[in-house]
Amino acid sequence: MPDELDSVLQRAVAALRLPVGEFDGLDDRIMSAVRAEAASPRQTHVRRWVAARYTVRLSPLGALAAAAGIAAVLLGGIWAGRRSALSPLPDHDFATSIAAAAPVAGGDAAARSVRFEVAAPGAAQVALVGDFNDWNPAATPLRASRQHGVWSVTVPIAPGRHEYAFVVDGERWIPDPHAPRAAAADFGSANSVVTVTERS
Amino acid sequence: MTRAALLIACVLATPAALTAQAGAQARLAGRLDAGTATVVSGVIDSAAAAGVPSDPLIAKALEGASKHATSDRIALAVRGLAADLAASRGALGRSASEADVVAGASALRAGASTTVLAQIRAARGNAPLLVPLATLADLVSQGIPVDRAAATVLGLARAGAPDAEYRTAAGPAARGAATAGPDAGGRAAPPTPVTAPPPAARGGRPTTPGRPR
Repeated sequence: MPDELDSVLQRAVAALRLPVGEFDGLDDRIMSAVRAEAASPRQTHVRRWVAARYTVRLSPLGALAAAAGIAAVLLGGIWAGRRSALSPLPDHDFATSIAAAAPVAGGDAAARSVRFEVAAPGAAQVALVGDFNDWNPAATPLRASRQHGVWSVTVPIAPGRHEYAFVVDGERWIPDPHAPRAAAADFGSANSVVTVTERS
Repeated sequence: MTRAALLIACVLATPAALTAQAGAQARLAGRLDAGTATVVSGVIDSAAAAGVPSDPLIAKALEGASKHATSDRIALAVRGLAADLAASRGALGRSASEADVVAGASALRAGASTTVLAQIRAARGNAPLLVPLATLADLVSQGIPVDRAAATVLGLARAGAPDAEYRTAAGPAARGAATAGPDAGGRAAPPTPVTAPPPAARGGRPTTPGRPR
């Protein structure tokens, strides 16, 4: 028994006497941890500063002033947005109904030639309807071009402000999104407006 | 005017009025049922007596017919347009052309007042009003407050601006959106393709672009 104890103690002493360098990677791990800690003292301070608790003390008058300041900033932003939305007219991207149409050769001397286009790649037929053709879907069919399914027609129209729309495949009434809309949609679907002038 | 001159004028005017009335009834007869055509003809006759042009009223009724509107709705729409045309005529005066009166009615429908129309009339003198009134209607219909749009158009009218300047005032898009027809060598902007309509769009809801040029 004493012999066994002696041998255990001897192994323990031998192990304790081993040089530190014998522990693989211990130095590297310790030094790398030390370097990481030493490399970011500012980050540590920032973290501590952010995490620290502060108590703000305000008098009632001071609190009122602070609230008024915040409200002023918010309202100022909202008003600036409104001003932006109502900026001077030339800054807006308006569509005009006024068509600089060409005179029609022969026929009605006052009428002007106006070209209408619509892209309808999947359509089988497209018609132009308006107050200038009694809203008759059979009166003014558009012709399809060979590219991109663009349909077009050129019609003589008397000077004035006219409402119109396109009828796709005989059933779908659509306005011209590039032209202004008529203010009133008396029958549900919206119309577009074209204004033909005598001189262009 | 002597009584004889007045009598001659009436004799000459009566056939023209009857011819116009017959033409209106003929245009309506083929597209409206008899009851609706009678109601609309009555509105048109009353409006014509007040100096309101008939063509826009006929066109409004025919628009309703093409869109399969009910008789009541067609009559309501024609009456409403007749009232706006009469107000426009009243604000612009008897000398205003039919095109001017129609453009004035468009401006009224967009939200302008008869006072603004009268002011534009006064500022333009005897010059045509079509372009100023159309510009006013365009601006208002695109969301510009009425007062602001009216001030812009009135400013141009009082400055004696030519028609071309109204287009410029309506914004950069005005120069590209309304290009000339083929005879004038206008340049086309590419139209936006039509996409397949959603189920809810069938039957008249607009989804497609085009372009008058």
